[in-house]
Amino acid sequence: MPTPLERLMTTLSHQEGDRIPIFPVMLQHGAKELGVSLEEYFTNGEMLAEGQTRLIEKYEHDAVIGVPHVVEDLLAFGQKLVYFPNGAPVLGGMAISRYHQIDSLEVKDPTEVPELRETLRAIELLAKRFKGTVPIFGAGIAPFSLPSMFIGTEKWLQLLFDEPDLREQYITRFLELSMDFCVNWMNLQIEAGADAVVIADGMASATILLREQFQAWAMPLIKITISRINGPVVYEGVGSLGQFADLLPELGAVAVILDRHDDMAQCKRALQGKVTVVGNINNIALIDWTPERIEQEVKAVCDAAKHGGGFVLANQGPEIPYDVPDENIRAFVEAGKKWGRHNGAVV
Amino acid sequence: MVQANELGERFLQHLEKLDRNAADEMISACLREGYDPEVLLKDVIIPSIDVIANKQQNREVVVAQIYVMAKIAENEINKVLIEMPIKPRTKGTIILGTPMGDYHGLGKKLVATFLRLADYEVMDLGLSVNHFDFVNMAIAFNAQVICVSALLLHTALGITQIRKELDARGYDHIKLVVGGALFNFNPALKDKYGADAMAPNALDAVRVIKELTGGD
Ligand code: B12
Repeated sequence: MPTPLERLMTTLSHQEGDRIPIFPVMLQHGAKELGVSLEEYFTNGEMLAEGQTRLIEKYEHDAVIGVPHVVEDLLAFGQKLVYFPNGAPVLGGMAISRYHQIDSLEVKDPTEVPELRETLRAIELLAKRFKGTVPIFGAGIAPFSLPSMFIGTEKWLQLLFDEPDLREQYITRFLELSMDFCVNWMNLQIEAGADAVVIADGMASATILLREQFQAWAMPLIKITISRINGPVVYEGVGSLGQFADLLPELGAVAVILDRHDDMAQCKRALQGKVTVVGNINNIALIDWTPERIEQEVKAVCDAAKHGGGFVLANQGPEIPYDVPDENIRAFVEAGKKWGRHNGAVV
Repeated sequence: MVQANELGERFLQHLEKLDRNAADEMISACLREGYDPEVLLKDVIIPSIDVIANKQQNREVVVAQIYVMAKIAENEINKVLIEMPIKPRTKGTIILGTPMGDYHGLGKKLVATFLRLADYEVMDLGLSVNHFDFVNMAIAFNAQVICVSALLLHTALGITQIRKELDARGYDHIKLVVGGALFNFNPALKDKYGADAMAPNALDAVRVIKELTGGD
């Protein structure tokens, strides 16, 4: 039987292996396995690695992830986190409230931030355990979306769309600072042992941007960012990307994560042989769906996208919510194993 | 004088091109030429917003457009309102906010804008609001509806607490309306959290609230 890493490499080279790789994005469920609070879990590299190890032993899926959530990126911008018992932390406030403050915004090196050091430690430990057999993922916020987290979504949209003069004055600085941080942070994760990194770019998705805006503002930035990252990059829309499908091969990403509004069959056609599609089971509905319903949904996605490789079964969005019960995760993985089989036909 | 429907079409075009200056020049010119502000509002600006509402339902417009269009429309409506006799917003009072721990304000802001455009008095309590404050303000201001905008799953539990508090204090006639990405991905959550209704976008929010409160 191929290892999870071999399975991934096969699909990334647009070939059919024994079955599709299955990646349920479980950033939080490891804490349940260890019986610790999310706050403790998220801020301890040993626990993150141990949690990922127990999860893969339990479900036998095909990847481990060293990152607890992407909100932590903002710790480097001096922001504070507020933790919750059943979900990712939120920001305690914004780093800056006015555009001109960008000039004096200080960004720390990730290695100086204790929580980010723990993330790197988690990746190192995972690499010790899994390098060469199970793909190890890192993640962070993409540069077009990062400003929405240090100045707020509304201020960011206002600068982009409603303040041409201010935009002229400040946009380059916002984007350069964000890109430099993102590239540095992703490269540190790769050095620590990540096989690939996911950059999450919700503000650039087709949920928020028009095609022309994506082309004019987000695309050039994404391309440069990806070219500066020293390893394979997975581009995550967080929202939809389907409307931009034909543009995605230009980004330089090995794979793209789609959301549940995206038509998988159509995206697969546009990207066949070029970029692997990842997705797109409704993560929020996983809480309430029955195992039977989950199987149906997984089957539909597999039918639409598995042929010829270039497909990874995953949930949409950045995580499987904490409240999704174990039996539903089990149903998701098992359905993937059943309906993602390639009938032994290696192309 | 130019017909209202022709003006409406022009206004819609300016909105769709996100052309703030053209929209502004058009409305200013109409007012200068003595166009009835009430007609401008009811037959030119509001119908344009309705057209966009339908487009949003079909996912033909994205957040960036809605954001700018709402700002342009609000600006022009304020300009027209100044020319009209002062009367209170007539459709009733709505309390709005995000639940404790949720700092996402964009969806909320759009909902507030469109409710105001539809003549509701909106009390925006802001971000990360305690469930007691939602209920206390609703009672104090005699509101018909509490609107909660929630982007994160784990903080949305605040909605259940609002429901419980309303019921415990005998104010179960105050309606609880919810929205945000969560509910779009899983409409069943509406019942789970004890809400009376949800809407997938800011424009449908207005429709849903009109239905709930028996307005036209
Ligand atoms: C852009 C985005 C990001 C960006 C920027 C986010 C930011 N600055 O806050 C980035 C990439 C950084 C990001 C990060 C994260 N994100 Co995010 N993100 C999104 C995305 C794509 C769009 C959100 C948005 O701003 N939409 C624009 C606004 C205007 O839309 P809206 O809020 O839905 O509002 C409309 C309607 O819903 C409605 N409405 C809104 N309120 C109300 C109220 C009433 C009463 C009514 C009737 C209607 C109504 O009208 C509005 C206008 O039409 C969504 C997915 C999606 N497709 O929506 C995920 C999403 C919100 N993110 C999610 C998550 C999990 C995260 C992270 C926690 C990821 C992680 N594990 O690290 C972080 C945390 C972010 C944080 N703020 O703390 C989840 C949240 C659900 C959950 N599991 O709790 C979502 C839903 C994705 C998913 N499918 O899982 N994200």
